[in-house]
Amino acid sequence: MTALEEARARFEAGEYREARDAAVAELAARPEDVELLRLAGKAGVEVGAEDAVEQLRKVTELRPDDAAGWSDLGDALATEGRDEEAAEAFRKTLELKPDDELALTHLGHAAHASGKEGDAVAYLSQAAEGTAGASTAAISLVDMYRTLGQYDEALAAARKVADAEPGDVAAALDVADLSLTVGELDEAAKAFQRVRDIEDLPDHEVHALHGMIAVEVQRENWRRALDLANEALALDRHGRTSDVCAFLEAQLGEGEREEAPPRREEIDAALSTSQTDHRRLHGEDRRLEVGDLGG
Amino acid sequence: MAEVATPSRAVSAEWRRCPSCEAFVYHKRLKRTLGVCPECSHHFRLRLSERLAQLLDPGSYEDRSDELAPVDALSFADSKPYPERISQAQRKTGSTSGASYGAGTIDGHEIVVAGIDFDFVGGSMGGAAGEAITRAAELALDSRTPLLVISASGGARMQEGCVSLMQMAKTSQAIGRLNEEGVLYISLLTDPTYGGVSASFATLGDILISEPGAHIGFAGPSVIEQTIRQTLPDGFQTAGFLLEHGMLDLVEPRENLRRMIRNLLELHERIEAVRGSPGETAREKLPETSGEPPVSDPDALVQRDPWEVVQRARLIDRPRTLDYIGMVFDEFQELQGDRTFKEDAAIVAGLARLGELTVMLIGHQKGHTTSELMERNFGMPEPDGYRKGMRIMRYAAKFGVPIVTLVDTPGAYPGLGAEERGQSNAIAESIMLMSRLPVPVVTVVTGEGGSGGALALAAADRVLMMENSYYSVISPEGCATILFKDAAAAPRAAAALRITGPDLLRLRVMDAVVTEPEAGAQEDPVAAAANLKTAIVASLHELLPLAADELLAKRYDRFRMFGAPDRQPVLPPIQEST
Repeated sequence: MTALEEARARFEAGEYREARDAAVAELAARPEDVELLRLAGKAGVEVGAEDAVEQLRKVTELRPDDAAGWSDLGDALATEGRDEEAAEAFRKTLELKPDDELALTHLGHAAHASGKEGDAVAYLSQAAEGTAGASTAAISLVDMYRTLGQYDEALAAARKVADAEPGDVAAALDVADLSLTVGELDEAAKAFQRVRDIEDLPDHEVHALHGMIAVEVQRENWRRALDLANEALALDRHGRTSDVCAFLEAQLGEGEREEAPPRREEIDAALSTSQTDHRRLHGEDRRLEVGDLGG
Repeated sequence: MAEVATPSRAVSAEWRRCPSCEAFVYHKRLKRTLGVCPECSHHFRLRLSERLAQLLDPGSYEDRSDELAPVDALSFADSKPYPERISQAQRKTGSTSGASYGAGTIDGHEIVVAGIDFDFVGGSMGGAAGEAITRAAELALDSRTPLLVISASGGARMQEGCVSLMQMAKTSQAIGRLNEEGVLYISLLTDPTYGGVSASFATLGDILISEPGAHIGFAGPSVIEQTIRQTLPDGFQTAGFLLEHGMLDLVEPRENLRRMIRNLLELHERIEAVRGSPGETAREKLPETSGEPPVSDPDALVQRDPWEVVQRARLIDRPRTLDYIGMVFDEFQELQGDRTFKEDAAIVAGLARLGELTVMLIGHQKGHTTSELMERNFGMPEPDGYRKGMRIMRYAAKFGVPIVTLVDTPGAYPGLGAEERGQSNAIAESIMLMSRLPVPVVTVVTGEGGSGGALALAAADRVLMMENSYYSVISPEGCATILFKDAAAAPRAAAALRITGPDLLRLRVMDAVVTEPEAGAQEDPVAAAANLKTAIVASLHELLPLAADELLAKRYDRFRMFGAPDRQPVLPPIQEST
């Protein structure tokens, strides 16, 4: 096995430090070997090597028409937080390979960071179109459309993610929440039920029930809403459902209260806050794999 | 962590949205920053395996939790049967139990580790999690290896009913045995740690560490708001809130955690190295010093006007406890909190390295600037400061660590809250505790030695004072007002009270005086610190060989003599002594 082959095998096995060591050792004899530089640089990015950018930049100097080389350089620069330089590298990538998903995704996020939401959506849409399933571009699109108030588009993107990853709570939650927002109540009811089914925490299940209640409140189906609220009450350790029950009982002329029941606006706000909390609770769910942030 | 068949992961995302500032962060950048948002420093939650990878040496972790798995002892079902929830969690996390324990190293220092994964049913503590913590504590005890527990939990696991509740007792008693046997236990409380976990092993550590922004508490905030019908303040139950309220030792950014834990392990390894050994072993760990030796002959000291000494002791540029710590000790790890009400910055405390010997340092801290003086309450502790000091003294006694205290206070704080929280009792308890500590205790009055507020840190085997410090039952101004009916008579009162080195040596209140540069310690703090270091080392050199019962007997006798008719030295009238 040559040194290059060994470095490549190590890299593919996730043994980045060993891969880098093998490539760097061989570079002493062949300092302008593009493949060795590429492997040393890419492995270096994974282990935080200081000279990774330098090695990958050299790849682009030696092979300026190599889209992968520019993409690798952009990746290394983005990893170091050198966002403007990374954007330049990814723009160069797109010149050479207009449908490069990584470059499109990076440029989309870069555009978002600089406040160019329209550009961000354009880049990410193109990236998402080029890939099947729940790409990172599609996931980000949901948030960006939501931020822009384009809820129908957000819902379409969310459906794509949820269809590809039926076990992903955050994706199902996006579909449920956005369906409710745009008035697709049947879809919202199904989606919140889906969230409830795949949630593993009773505390979180309460939020799903709150979503289902919100759907029934919009339909003014007070009896069904109260039944759901009573279910939620049994699971709710945080006392968020008591006022909802009081409101619904008042709508049905049931229950005895000394105080005036909460107003509809208060209940709408409380149920909406519950969904915001639920999304926040799942905000950190999406990660690459166990150990990804392992230092 | 024990693995099950291919886990069903959440959706892959190369960009993660920060839940705090909402910035999109590239995952590789996030990995570089150990999961801390580069835009706003929000600390993302980590899975237990990620946490272990960040803290331990690569490849060092030997997982022993293979056989741990949740047991459905109640055949419980809510909207789903409990086993179904467990299966979901196992698929989601790839772990059979959501808890792990084993042995590893941090920069080569051995440590037993246990932790709970929040992603597994909210990190709730059932039998499996309790078992991991308990087995880890037992392993630490058997091997006398420090224990690190990493908590992230919503609390007890309802689906295991009282079996879950009993984990609080099971884990607490296991930690209790570690406590009795003097094996170090560091608890890392991560976001979030609540309920039955925070109310058992997680807050029982010798040292409690957390990260910025981590939420820690007993009842959740929404439960509290529903109960008291009030909006809770911003930052409620965050690590910063708990630190401010004395419940944590340290809140450190993630990038510092590994280094900090390693330093604590090193400091404790130095403690273990001399534990149970003859005093000579500990003596050998003391450093060489170059300062002037302390003076025990009152006639060998410069005889200064007492009022001038009082003025010098109060100079704002005079070195303070933290200045001396930097110059006298080779390393210092501050520990905070009284674990009851608040962190009182008027007293600083922590583990310090003196040569190769670990000591415990406790001292009043004033500061040099107006803002620092206010932050430190001018070095006037409230009861919480003394209770922190006592907590740290007990820590030292448990591990057999010599104690050095540096006294510099106008007095204990005279305030409403201080009285409400028992200032008198706090001082009394501190004096009593200190007088019975089974470890060597050296005190140096470095500035103002204001009455009971000073003595609360000065019931020591050796009591020394800096040349330009004073030690008094009351401030000269207070005495002048009360006894001489004239505040302007403070200089006269200062002389009458016999509060300076020469007189206190003659009264045997002091054992020795640490000399200072001609114009005072502020003129040459380095020289003053060198003399202080020499004095501390000399005192420890005398005390380290003494057994605990001998120390206690001598300390008892030291304070027993004051006021005894046949033993109390009597000073001649002022005209003859000055």
